[in-house]
Amino acid sequence: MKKTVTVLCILFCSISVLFAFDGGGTLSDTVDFYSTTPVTVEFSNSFVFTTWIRQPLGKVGSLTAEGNYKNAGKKSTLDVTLLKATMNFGPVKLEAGRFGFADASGIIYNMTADGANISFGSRFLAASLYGAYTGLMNSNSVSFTELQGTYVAGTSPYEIQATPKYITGIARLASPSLFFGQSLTLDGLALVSPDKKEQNRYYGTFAMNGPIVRKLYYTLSGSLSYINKPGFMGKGSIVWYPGILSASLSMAATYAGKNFSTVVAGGPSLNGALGWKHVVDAQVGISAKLASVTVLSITGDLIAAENEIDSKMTMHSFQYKIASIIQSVSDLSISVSVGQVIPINKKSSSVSPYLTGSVGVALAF
Amino acid sequence: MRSNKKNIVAVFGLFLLLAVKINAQSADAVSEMIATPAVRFSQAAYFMATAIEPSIETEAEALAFCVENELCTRSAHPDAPMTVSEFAGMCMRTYGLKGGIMYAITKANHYAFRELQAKGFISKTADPRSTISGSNALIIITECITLVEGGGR
Repeated sequence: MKKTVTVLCILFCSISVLFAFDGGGTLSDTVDFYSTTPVTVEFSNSFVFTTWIRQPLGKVGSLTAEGNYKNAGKKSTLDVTLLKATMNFGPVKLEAGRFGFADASGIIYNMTADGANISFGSRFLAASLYGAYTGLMNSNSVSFTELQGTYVAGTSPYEIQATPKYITGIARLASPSLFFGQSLTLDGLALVSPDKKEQNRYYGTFAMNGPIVRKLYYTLSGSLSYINKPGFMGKGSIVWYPGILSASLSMAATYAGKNFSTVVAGGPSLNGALGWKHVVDAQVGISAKLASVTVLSITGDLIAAENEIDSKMTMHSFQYKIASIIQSVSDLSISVSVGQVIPINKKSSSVSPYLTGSVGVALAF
Repeated sequence: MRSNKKNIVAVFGLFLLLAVKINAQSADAVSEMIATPAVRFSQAAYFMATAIEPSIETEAEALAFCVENELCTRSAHPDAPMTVSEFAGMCMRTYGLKGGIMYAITKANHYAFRELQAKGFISKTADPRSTISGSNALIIITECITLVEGGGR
């Protein structure tokens, strides 16, 4: 597999000599802070240099590559995040190489891996078949959900430690616009471990979205999982676009059952204390474009989670996040955010007061 | 068939819009531009130069005006097809559009292309090194004029 990747890299570089690439990149620096007590605040800085190149292959496709260098404290990583060939043959599209892909829920599997996707699209029916190998990614850049101790994040600053080995397959059938603009998607996701059968994961997701009335839209999805035991996750949201200040108002709710687990790490809490497992998250949000260069978004979450005393689901915390992006010129953006976790169940040790925020600047070139 | 009808309506609409917007330029030049699969330097120069100096009548005069005013490079061959990024650079300079930080520093066509992409005048998937069709070029010109007339840069 590594030889194949090397050969692909050499091939890509050779082609670049023959053709002139289009390219660009971004330079960004972000200062994060967090505090768990009123008197101590900890700061961290991360610098990311990302560069990309793209070579169109006539009208049938393109070759794209993207890599980044990231420095956060004493840890530096160098990574290839995209290396993809795209070919279009009428309604059929073929993508191959290293690229990101997500399942229909957008939460369970949403990561970069090495593989291929073939898709067919028409107005009423779309189908795709995706296959990938996860074991060649840098674990400093991709975060898997821990499962039976299989995943260890990269610890050495310069060492590239590979992610857990899984062969991933996603089969998808969708109807982009079946009736009244409604979109239906059904997909099956399987992650098969070549080493240990008990670590295999299987998921099935049904998702639908579309307009309810003018300017009011919904999304709804339900996912069944099987990781030695059956599990369930469901989520729904309603978004209203009032038509002023490019604003949106949203309400969303997500439930993840006791035996549920996602593939990529993630969860509802700002401090990363909770994953998508035995948790309910109810969220309201508002977003608006102010003064033509500033986008402001505010979200508030009420979270219920399993408490460690009797394993029952109880109210866990309330959290809010205020974020703003200021873009006065097309290639420079400044982002500012602040968020806070306020515990409701003060007896639970898994929740503590938490204040976090960040200030970032990014320049595209 | 439906697609052909849509194209005819779009081109006709564009023609009417340009007749109002680019009143100094001849209808013949606009008609020829719409039918052009790959815009030439001299052809683009005519539209750029007449936007500044309406008395210019020929493409040769227009190209000389553009070179003199640094709207395009001296090495530009009159009959050579333009790339999308070269055309974007010419538009930015002609209409005095402000770009981002990288464009302000370098004045390069590459960043002019990025700027017009950011403004939504050029498709996000466009290849900067490909040639530009006459109808697409006219759409970009119209967007630039609308922006300038609206007080934006």
